[in-house]
Amino acid sequence: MPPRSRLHRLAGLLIASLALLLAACGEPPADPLRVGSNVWPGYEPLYLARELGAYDRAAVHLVELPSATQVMHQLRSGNLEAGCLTLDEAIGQIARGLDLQVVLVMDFSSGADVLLARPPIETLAQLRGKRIGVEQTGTGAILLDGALRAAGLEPGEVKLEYLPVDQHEQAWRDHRVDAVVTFEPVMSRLLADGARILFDSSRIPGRIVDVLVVTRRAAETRGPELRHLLAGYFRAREVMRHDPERANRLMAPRLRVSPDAVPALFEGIVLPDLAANRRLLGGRPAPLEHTAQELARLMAANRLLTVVPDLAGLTRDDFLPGQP
Amino acid sequence: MKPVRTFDLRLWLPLLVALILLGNYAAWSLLQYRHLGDEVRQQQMHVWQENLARLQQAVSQKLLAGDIGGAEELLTSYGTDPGVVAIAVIDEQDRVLFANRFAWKGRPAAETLPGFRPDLARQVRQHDRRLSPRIEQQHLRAYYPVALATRPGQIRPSREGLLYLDYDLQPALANIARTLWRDARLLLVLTLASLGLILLVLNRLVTRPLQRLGEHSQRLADNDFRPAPVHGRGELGRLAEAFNRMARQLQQQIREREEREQHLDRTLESIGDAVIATDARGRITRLNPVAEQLTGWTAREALGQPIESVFVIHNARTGETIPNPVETVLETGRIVELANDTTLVARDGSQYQIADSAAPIRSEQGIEGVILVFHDVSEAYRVREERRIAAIALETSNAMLITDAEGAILRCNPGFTRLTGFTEAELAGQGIDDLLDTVPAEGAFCDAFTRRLEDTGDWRGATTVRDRQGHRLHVWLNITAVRDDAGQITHFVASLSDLSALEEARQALQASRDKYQTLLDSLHDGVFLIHEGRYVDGNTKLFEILGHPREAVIGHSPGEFSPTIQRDGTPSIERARDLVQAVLAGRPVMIEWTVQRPDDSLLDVEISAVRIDLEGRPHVLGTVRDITERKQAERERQALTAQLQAALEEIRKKEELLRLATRAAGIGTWEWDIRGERVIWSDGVAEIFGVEPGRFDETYAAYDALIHEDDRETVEAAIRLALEDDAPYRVEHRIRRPDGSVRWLTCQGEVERDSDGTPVRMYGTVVDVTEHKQAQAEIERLAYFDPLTGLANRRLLLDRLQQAISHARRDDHTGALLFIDLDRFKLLNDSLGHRAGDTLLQKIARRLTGVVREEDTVARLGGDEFVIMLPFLDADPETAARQAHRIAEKVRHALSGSYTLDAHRFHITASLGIALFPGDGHDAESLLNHADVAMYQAKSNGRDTIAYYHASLQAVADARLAMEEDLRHALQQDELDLHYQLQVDEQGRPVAVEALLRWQHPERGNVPPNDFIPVAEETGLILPIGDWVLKTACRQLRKWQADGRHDHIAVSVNVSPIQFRHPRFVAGVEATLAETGIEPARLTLEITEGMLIDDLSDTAQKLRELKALGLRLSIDDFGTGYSSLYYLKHLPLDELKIDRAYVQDITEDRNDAAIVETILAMARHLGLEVVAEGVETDEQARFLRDNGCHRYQGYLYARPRPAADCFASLEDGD
Repeated sequence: MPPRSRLHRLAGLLIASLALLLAACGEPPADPLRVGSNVWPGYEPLYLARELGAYDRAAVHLVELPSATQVMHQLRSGNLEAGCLTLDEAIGQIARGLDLQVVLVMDFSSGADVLLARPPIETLAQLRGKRIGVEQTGTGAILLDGALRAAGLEPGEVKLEYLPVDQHEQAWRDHRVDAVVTFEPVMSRLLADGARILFDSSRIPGRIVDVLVVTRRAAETRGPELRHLLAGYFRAREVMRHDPERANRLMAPRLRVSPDAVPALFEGIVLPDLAANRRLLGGRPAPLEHTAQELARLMAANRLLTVVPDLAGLTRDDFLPGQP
Repeated sequence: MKPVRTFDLRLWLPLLVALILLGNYAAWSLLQYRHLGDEVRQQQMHVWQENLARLQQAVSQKLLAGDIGGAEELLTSYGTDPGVVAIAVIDEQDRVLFANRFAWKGRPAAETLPGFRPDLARQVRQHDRRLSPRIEQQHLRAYYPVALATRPGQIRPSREGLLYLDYDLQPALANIARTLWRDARLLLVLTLASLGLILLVLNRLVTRPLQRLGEHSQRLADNDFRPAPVHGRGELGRLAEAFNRMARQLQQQIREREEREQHLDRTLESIGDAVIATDARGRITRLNPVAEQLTGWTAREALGQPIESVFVIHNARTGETIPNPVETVLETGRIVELANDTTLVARDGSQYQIADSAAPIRSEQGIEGVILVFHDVSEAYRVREERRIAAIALETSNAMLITDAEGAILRCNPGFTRLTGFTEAELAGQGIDDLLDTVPAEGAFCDAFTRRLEDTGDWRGATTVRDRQGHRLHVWLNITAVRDDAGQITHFVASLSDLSALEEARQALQASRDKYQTLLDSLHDGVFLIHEGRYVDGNTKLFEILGHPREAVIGHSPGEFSPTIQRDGTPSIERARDLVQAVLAGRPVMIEWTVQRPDDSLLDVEISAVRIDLEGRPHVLGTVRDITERKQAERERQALTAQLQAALEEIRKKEELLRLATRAAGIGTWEWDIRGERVIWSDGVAEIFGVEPGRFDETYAAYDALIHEDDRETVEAAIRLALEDDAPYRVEHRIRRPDGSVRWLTCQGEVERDSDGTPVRMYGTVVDVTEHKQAQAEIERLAYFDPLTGLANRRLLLDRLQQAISHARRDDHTGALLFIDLDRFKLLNDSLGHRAGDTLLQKIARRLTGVVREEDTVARLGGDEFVIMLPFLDADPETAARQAHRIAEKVRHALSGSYTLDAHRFHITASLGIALFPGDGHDAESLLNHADVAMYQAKSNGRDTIAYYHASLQAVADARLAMEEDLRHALQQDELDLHYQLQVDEQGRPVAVEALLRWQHPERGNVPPNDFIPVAEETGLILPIGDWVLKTACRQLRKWQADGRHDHIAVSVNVSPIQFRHPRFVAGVEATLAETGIEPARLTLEITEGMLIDDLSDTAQKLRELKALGLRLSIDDFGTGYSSLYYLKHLPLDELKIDRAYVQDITEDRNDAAIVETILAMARHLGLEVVAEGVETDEQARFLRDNGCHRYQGYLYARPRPAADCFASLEDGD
């Protein structure tokens, strides 16, 4: 090699390394992305991904919390960068000033949320003037709204009793309500007691949604970890599809059931796949944003929100696997 | 002076600097890392001491207050720290109460919690003293006691738990390392920058001058003596000056040497001899022009070549190579003179005789090279050589003459004198033709002879001469001319050979040949002679056998007269070749051969052959004998032998088969010598026992050990019975084989007794009956259970039902039979495939069994029909009916959840019929039948319902059956017809018609569609009917299009859900469109709202496909089902039809009016057309028009009429 060109190359190399190293000096020391959730089958693929070894410990830290309230609390106090919430919970938090973005749709309720009625009530129309127990949550509001629309009833034509879910069964047994908007495990117990399903969430597909939210700050600075998180999630979904036995075995301990009972837990919900997620989260405005806006209006109408927050730019699809 | 090794400064200097800098930093970083690491550990220890103390107290308080949830919330919130591997509260049995991982709950801590040590936990509990965080392998671990519960009045907790922490310090330490690395990068940047600087300076001060000097010395080597472009006072500048001085001196010396060389060259060129000089390795350094001429090499080409490639010499007489003189000189150091007869071969192949000498060139160092001097002596050599040859020629024993050009004899040799008696002196001066004796000499021969000689100079031929005595001699005369350089004949040389003896020999040979031929031809066998694979001779018999004349055989190979393949399967040509070779190799051969004759008949022959050498060349001599008859006999004998062999083989095979069959059947035999206490087992037994034959102890104990523990007594009892009571021994029992598998055996045997009746011996057989047993069990299972779902089958159900009926009658209680049929299962089965259908049935079976009690029976009758038998209900039939209804409701609920199959989700509903017993039927069959009837009632009440059996239902069921039967014939009997009802616009102009189905039954009269459509849907008849409707409507449409008056009219056709769900529906529509050739945009398909929600994904797909065909799509009876904006928005619809129920009350009922307004507003918004159905009054029409509905259908405008006059009413009205 002529000495001159070797020198040039050496100099080029030096300059390139200088640039690289100077650029690297700006990056902060990375802590793992902290993602919190309570136990819900729809969130389980994240934990399955952890069991499958899909997550680098330095990049993703899953935090198991006993309730969604805790998830929201820790998100607000900055102890989590991401969390699994129902869409209405997420909207509630946004309305309270927490700047969240939806990066993944985890599941839809499709039959998991139900309106149960006591015999002799047999049709939705017969609910007119009856007492209906319902949680004062977005989910409760959506399902009730769907049921009333199907029945052709106005909210004013029924008597609403706002009850947290742990009081549904007692209220039913005390005959304080004629119908109740609820979900598992209360649903099974009331069915065994003779209740009838008049309406369920499979009739309003895509309305009751669980999502993965991240703080806007995390969405802007933690791109690689978020992509890692979602890649692991979809890898777990692949395993659930192709090797359900293995997936059930790995998910069973957290769900606290035997592996055989795991599929039953997924019966009332639909987990949208990658393509569905792209559809729901992509575009401006994204379909999910539209759903969220409708939901926000509904929540405001049910006094679950005092103000309707601005949800423009709620979703991001750029962390989904396979995105440029 | 010792040489100094140099290194690349540009590499080593910066590298050294970099290494020193980096080494220093690495050492500093290591220290820093350890220091900061210690700090982090201390800090985390303090943090967690505080955290845990707080947590210990708070958790205890919450637990004591019974607020487990609160305690868990508190604990799990610590899980957000990525370093926390485990934080858990453990109960007194070391089970996890709650932790940061839910999966650990309730499981032993030792199995789940990482790093948990039960011994430490025990210690903490015993002393009620915490174990503060301590570091174990980069983990902080701590155990704190917590109170789980306290008995009232006691201070010490009654249940003592533990708070456990496992904290991974690795992430924190990794963070330190990352920070240090980040700082290190800054330093690296600085290091790299200084390296760059050093490199630049080095390059300027050292490398470039050195490079220039290097380039300069390279130029010196190429004789460029310009001064080096380096100057200045530096060390390198002075070095360059010295360099330049040296170059000038060198230039001077070279010039002087060149002059000397030129002088030498001129000297060599003027020498007359060839001169070649070489160096000490024999490579040519010089070559003068004479040498160039002789060797054919130019000096330029030859320089540097090894001497032996240029100076090629050999002995002219022998052709042998002569050692190259140069090499000899180099070896010996002495002058070498070449021997005579040296020929030099020039480069172009011409040869020269040369004389040469080679001498060493000596200097102080010894021999520096060789100088080779030579000249051409070819001419002298040639003269000498000719003389020598002539002398030798005349000395030969042959008779020789030499004449001059005119044929006058100059010389003759002693050989000639011997032959003819003439001496040289007598002949001198005579012409050669004077010697020629023959008559021809006087005439034509002589002329030809002379002419030939004159033309060519040569003559050869047999002729006769007279000797001195006048005898005639037969000679072979050979005359050759000798020419000079100009080609002129100077002499003739004649040689004569005596042919008299040869002629005698020839005559003798001919005689002997004739004798030989006669001998051969007289032989009975054919004789042949083969040379080089071809016949060269043969006798008459041979040609007779081959069937070809002699001339067709000689010169051809034996293979050509044979069939392609010999009887032994080898190709004839190949075999013949092999045989000839074998014979030639010296092996006499005797073989059988088949010959093919010209008439294609085959002839078997026997050939024997040996090798003989004739005229020094190997030949094959052989005889051929015809053996056709002998062969025929032989073949017959062989065929017989083969038949016998085959028969024997068959027998052997059958015997083998029998042996295998016995083994496969698992039969073994045994013999028990009771007194000798020895049992002899056959190999079959060993195989059954799963032990190796011969390795099984020949004792009863060995057998006893194999017997299944539960069967041991049975076997012993059977043996005892046989021995004591002389009963035949037969017992069925299990054994456990050494490999652990359990087999069922049947053992049979007899006892042999001596004269006293004492048992002496037992013998018998053992058979493995395991498979038989399993098959029996399987048959039993198949007989009573449904193989798909594992539920009871019809047979078992009927059995149990019969029992239950008698039982109920006897004990005076009531039972019930629930007949369950899945709604639309068949449709699902068709569209999803039978495999999915089977899976669904299994899911349903599981749900059904989950609902009922132990004593109830769930059965599957086949298809999607299930039956549940509830045998024990209340005695009072009414109460029992209510109980049955409640259970039926439960069943319905259990079944109506959603199902996921192959990623499809859908709902299933079921219709249930209830029959009570013994009230509703006395025997199982009729009861089942009645439950079935009730189920049908439930179906026709609208699916997803429950119905009781009632006697009147039977009548309905019967009527229904009759209707079904009639409907089947209706299509064939042409009883179906289409009527058309107009749809008009605001001006009352017809825009479309709806096709409506009519059934004119010969006895029942006009049957309303509401009566027969459900039956058609249930029985699947709706498919052919729907098909007929679509085709008929399309044909009518084509007629209208053709007649020109109604070519703008569109036709709406109703589609039944069953029809729509059929997988071939779209294809069917497409085919009808193609067949009738109508414009698709004129055809509207009406589907009901309910179909949209039933299976949205399938519906959407089909609608899109239909839309793609160009059809219009309409939603019929809009407003009656559950309407979702979502569907309307996302499906490719064109039209809504407002249900007549709304339109009817539009003017009275404000609700209905509001609904219609909403529908219209929404349709406008979505761009859908709206048709109002059932418009009967002007008020209704006005209301609709005012609210933006522009199309109407109803009695106000037209009733449904046959196609021929459906437009008539309007025309009447006009």
